[in-house]
Amino acid sequence: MIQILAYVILGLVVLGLLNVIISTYNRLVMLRNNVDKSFVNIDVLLKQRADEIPNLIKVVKESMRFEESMLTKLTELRTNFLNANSAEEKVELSNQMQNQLRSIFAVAENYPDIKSNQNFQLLQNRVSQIEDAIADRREFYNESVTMYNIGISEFPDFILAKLMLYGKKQLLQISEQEKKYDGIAF
Amino acid sequence: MSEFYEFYKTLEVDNGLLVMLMVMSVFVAIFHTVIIMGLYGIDLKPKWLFFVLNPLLIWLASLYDSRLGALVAIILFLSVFVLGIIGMMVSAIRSGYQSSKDEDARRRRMGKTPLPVWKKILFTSSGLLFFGLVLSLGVPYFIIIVFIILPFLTSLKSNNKKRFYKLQRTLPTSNIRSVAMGLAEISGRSKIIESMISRIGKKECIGFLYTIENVSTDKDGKDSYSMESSETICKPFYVQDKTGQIKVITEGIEFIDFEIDEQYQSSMKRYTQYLLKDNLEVLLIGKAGLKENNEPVFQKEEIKDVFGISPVESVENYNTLRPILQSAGYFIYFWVILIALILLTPIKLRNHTLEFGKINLDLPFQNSKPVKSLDDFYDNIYDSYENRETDHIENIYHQEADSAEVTQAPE
Repeated sequence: MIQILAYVILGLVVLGLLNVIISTYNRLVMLRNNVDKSFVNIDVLLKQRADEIPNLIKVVKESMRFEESMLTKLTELRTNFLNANSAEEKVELSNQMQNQLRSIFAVAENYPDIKSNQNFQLLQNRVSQIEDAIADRREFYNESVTMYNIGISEFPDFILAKLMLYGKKQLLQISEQEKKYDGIAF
Repeated sequence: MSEFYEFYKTLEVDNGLLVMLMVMSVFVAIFHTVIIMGLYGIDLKPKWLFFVLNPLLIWLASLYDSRLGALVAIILFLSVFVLGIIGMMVSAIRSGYQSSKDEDARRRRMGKTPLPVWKKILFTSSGLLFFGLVLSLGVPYFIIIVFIILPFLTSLKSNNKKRFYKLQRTLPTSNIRSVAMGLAEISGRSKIIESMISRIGKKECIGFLYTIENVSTDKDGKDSYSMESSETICKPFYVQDKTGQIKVITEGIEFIDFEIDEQYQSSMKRYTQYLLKDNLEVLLIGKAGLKENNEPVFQKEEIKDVFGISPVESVENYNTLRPILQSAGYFIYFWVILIALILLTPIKLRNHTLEFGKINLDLPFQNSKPVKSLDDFYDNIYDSYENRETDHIENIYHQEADSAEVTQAPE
């Protein structure tokens, strides 16, 4: 009877251990998928921003005839972004698009008819909101990566993470170009 | 039966014994009252009925024959166990029926059809069969299965609160203006859209959780509580953080670890109220989605079956306590394994010395006799294993005795 009780206790311990292993496995899988999902979700907003560009060009094209080169460059960047395959290429092109958009908005200040155009104002607000959301999603991505990196490093989860060949992921870095501040040009 | 009749004929019951039996029947009346009121749900009027009825029955029976009075006392004593077992079954059937009704209501709310009757009958029959099988194995196995194995397995079962805290550890908190569609965690202050009035105290709030618990007091005067009903009513509200706000559709929401707002006890019941007030800092886990008019909303996540709201302070307390509880868990695991190994090791005290045998890892029922009938099955469970264990220990000490040196006794 006592031996049966001992086996029951050992059986429950093994069952409990199995439960812990399964929970840990599921948690690590979820952490990794959160990272992938949050990275792709940045992409969704970048695409959304890129989709606003034709509407913006349509609004400003007539008035900004002298800035045609800027508008052409922005269109080229958008086309290249949509055709890009690798994540690094997309990020680089997206950064260039962002700078170009900022330049167009800055130059548009010199055109009162554009500035007062309701459609232009709506587009400007829309792009601004998308950029705020992109910043939030980048922050969210970094938080996901941090939680993942902590999750695969904690004891005893790191044992299972090593068996699953889960390695650390890099946080999103802000490029020197993005950090560079040229001051406000009047 | 004839042995019992012989015993009954030789029974001698004097007045002193009869009085003692009547007094003991008053104590038995406590169990009768608790079982009838608690398990059968019958409201006894008056509550002291059994306290009078039990000794009265013994006295009336003893007027005819004093031995009959003793027999009635024995029957009253045994009736506690019979009524208790039947009462547990009645209570289980009643609570099963209530759970079935609640489950049907939940399925209707989710737009699903209720379970068909044949499935309910199948589940109930399987449960009764399992219970009967466990009971037939005997008291020790019944205790092990019902009080150790089943509660352990039940503790592994997931519920909304467990899923909430599990996901809270895994999901980063999203800013509301950029929350991605799907499973998400948001945090912010609750903003009232339409208020409601709480059950206790008639307070204005966004929603409340109202629970009723049955109170039972043991012989030491300590109260214990069991949930009778729990009701969550909550109007839609906004959650606002520094980036924006989102509407929460509160169908299926669970209030998790809220502070008690009001609580009182009356007529063996405890009434508790938890409030979701305006401008409370809360954390929610659920699904971010879009309504028909493309308005973003936060609602129940059906696939993961999770939707909870908790004050941020409660979540922080839980996260602070969790590592401590985890360490306690590892500590308990270690000691449980050690206890199991100790139980598997034959130990004997001889000549003021503890002697340890080899750890016995043989599986049980090794020397069982062939099972040709149900009696053989039960014999194997109870008899053969104990005999083998005793033989094993004796073998260890017989070997040692054989190898001991023979010394001359001093003159």
